[in-house]
Amino acid sequence: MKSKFNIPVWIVIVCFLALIIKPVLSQEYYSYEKVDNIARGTTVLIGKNLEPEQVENAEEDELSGSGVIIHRDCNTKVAMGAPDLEDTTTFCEYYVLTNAHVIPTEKADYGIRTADGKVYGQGINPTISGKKYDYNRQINRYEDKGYDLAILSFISDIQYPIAAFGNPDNIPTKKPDNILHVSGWAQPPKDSKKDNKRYRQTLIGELQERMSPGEIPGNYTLAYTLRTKTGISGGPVFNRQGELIGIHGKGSGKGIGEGPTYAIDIKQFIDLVSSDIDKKQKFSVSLPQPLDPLAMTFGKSHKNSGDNMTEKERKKFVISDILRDDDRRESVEYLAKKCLTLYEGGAIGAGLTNVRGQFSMDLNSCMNVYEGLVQENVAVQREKLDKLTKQIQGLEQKLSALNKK
Amino acid sequence: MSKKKWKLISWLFACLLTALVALFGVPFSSNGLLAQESLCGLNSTEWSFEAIKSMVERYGVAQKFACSGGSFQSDNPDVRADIAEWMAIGLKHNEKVLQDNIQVISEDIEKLQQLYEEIDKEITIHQETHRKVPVRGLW
Repeated sequence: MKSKFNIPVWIVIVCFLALIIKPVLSQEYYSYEKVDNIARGTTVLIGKNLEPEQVENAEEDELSGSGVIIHRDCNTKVAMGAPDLEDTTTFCEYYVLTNAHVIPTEKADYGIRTADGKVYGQGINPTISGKKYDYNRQINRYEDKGYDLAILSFISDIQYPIAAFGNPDNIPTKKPDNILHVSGWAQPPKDSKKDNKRYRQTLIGELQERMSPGEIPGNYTLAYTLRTKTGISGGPVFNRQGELIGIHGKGSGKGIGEGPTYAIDIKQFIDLVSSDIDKKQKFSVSLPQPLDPLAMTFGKSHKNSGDNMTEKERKKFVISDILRDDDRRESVEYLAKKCLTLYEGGAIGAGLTNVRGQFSMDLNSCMNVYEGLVQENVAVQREKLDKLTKQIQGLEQKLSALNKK
Repeated sequence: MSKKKWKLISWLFACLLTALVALFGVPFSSNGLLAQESLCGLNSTEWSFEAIKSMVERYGVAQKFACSGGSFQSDNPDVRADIAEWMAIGLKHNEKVLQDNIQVISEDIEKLQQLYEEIDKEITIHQETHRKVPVRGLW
């Protein structure tokens, strides 16, 4: 029996199907700006006895750290002594994942500052429908189990976005798929009196190495190329799809050190929660999770409060992925003004290893600018010389006229 | 020990030393193995040594930066911020050299300009004097 379709028709059908299937199968990479928005919406600052407006006025505890909202449970009975809530009132319990060393004790009152600038702590009770609300905060530290991880909760009548878990095993250690983003509230530069406000930043780098659990104390398993400092501890590590793959918590030494920095991959936490025999956790976690649509929009609409920057400060800040007191910042700023193109959004790609192509592009554009500078300077002198030559020619004419006389 | 034995030992050492120099070519210069130059844990035989030395000594890259992490790892990939640091230091240095040189040339041109103005002035005075001479002759 002869087929209804001939070969060319089949080829067209197969190509058409391939075109449809390809985008579905291939993983979508978000730009730096999009991941930065997700990071901003979900990253929090955790500080001992943190009060509202303290971060804005640079008055928070020096040892404050970062964290990420990983779970939201709305319309639940969470606390004792709740006021009579109308049915229409929505309130949510949130869980924040951080490092155990960010909250060294379960006894202290740690305030959590969300992207909208609000602060939630044990002492600062949340208000729902204008009434104070008693809440028994959950604090779990996993240090005794060998993990530098901890969880603490808060309650609010505002809907905050959560970070979706991604599989850390899917990231290779080779370019360009190994790019990752670390978000956190680095300590402000100590030697600066004016520039002493803490900013939230998203740093960009590459996964360099995987360690097996236990190799580094605290069960740190991911090593990457970006430079961090105190304050970013507990901050989330995102992959290029905007998924949470780890919790940052270890630099390479004092200050902004050299060499790799480290995170605990999120799988360690998932295993920890699923092996929780006492069932201390009120939630379960799994992989993979869909992205929270609220994450990007919330981060985008709370740009200034989420980063603790005014428009004026942002304009001055320019490069978003290098810390203020990183000793390479001055050079990066100098070249960015002259010749270096930004990587994406406001990022220069400070922690990305340069492939030859990128390096030649950077070098070429800077050499072009330098050549222009040389030519410009020479042109000015040439103009002066030309003027002088004409004047001397006039002088020659005068002299010859004088000789004739 | 007899004098003959001392002589024999001296000869032996002399031969040994000559053999060492002949076999291993130990040059007794400041750059030799006895006083080998090193920077950031690299010795002068390393392929990138001269370039790094030049960047540190000529262009002013801080040794602390070049030797970050204890030593200069020639075969490691660099991140963009590190490359920017090297490039910016080099370009800033060259920009300064350019501006310094331009400054010297500019000053030279200015001196020539002054010289021209002086000569021009002299010639004008001379011309004026010449013009006055025939007038004086009439008297």
